[in-house]
Amino acid sequence: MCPDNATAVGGAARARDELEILLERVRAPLREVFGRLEVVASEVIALRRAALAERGVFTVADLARIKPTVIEQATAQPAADGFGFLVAAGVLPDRDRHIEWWQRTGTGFAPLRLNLDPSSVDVYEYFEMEWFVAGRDHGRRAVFGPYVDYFGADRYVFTVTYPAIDETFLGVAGADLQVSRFEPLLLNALRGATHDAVLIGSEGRVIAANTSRWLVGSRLRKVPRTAEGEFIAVGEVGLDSDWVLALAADA
Amino acid sequence: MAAEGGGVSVMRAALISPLNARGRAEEVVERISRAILLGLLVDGEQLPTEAEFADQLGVSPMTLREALAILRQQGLVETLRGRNGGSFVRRPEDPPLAPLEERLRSTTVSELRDLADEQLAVSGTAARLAAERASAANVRRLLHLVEQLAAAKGVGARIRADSRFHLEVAMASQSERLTRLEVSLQAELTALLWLPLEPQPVLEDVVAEHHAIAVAIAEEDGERARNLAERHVERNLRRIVEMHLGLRGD
Repeated sequence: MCPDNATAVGGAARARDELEILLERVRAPLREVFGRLEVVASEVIALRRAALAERGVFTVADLARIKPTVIEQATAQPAADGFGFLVAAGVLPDRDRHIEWWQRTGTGFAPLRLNLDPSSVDVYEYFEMEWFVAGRDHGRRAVFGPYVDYFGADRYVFTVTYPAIDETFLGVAGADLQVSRFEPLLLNALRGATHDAVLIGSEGRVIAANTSRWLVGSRLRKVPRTAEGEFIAVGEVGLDSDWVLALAADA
Repeated sequence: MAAEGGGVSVMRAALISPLNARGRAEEVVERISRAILLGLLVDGEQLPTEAEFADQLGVSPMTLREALAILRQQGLVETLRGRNGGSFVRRPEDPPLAPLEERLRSTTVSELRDLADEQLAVSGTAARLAAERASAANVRRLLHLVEQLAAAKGVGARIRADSRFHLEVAMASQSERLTRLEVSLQAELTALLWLPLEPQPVLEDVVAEHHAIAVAIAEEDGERARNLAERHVERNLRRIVEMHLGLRGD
């Protein structure tokens, strides 16, 4: 056995061990956000069950009681710029589209009002958005972005969603996370890595890296699935995120 | 949250900075009416409470009330009383042309050229970065916005489809700062480009230029996207200078 090869094999094994540790650390901030969204989703389910048991109907007024829970969860996550619930069609008797969404302002949270009239050319058609479709068609959570939101100030964000399902799909609890505030949590997770590490989202978009070799928001030609090319260890973050963590040999 | 659709937040009106230091209320009127013209504030959208909105725009509630009164007179905002009351955006299909003509007449060629200089830097770079970074959804929306411009009949629809295209390119670049710059450039320039003052129809040419930019971005050809975007800015500048000179000659 040639000693060089033995070193390489040992190096790859060490990289895989490190990858597992880093993957677990990257999952922590995602789990934290999903946990908060799950609280909101569960509360919607509870409010609906109570309303149906009492009066046989679940209305906008019943859903509006979600507000203190949303504000509490949003306040506890400083990266959250917006937080709320987007309702599925057929859940409320009086309207197909409805959102309970609060946007962080200088002084607290203000309700976001959007045009949800489907007959308008300007309708905010959330039924078609990837993160809503993930919940409705696949019962999946979703992490979307980073992307520049529609002309907002300080709006380079991730959108994270969690479906509310009580036999039937009720909608998604969602949060917009500011990249500038969420990035430190991800970089913290990658701190201490002995390899160059890059977190990659769908379409090969760089989410975060512990090196200037890859810059957030740019795209790799190809998402690595296994150790190949410059990467010596590659693993999936999971949690419905589509995120992949890859460790590279020294450049 | 509002990425994939036409949904907007009223905070966007705060992004449009005023041209001149005038009365505070007039300044707010200008910002809000441009945001409505560009479709940043959409028809039917409910404005926040006066206290919230004043806070977002960084003006006193008194100034905002004054501005809302002017906007109501102009028919751009409607205030309803009662339990489901509030102030709502009312966007006319086409903007009144006289104030736009007045703006074009009173802007000098040197100012127009300088605006285009800034846009050359912003739109060119945004197009290059978009070619490297755009998502499949960005590309789909760009192509859709090209079709929307081709089908746009009136001045208002053309302004919205044109500016939305350039804003989408900026958003696809993943740069919040470039997007912000592009928003204020669009607010200053785009409405003037569609004044019905040109002897020859230009819609088809503009649609072809947008289409070529979208295709270069889809094909991830950054240098071509940048060159096409820069040429587009230069052509638009010539159009707008010709219109300005024509108005002066009247």
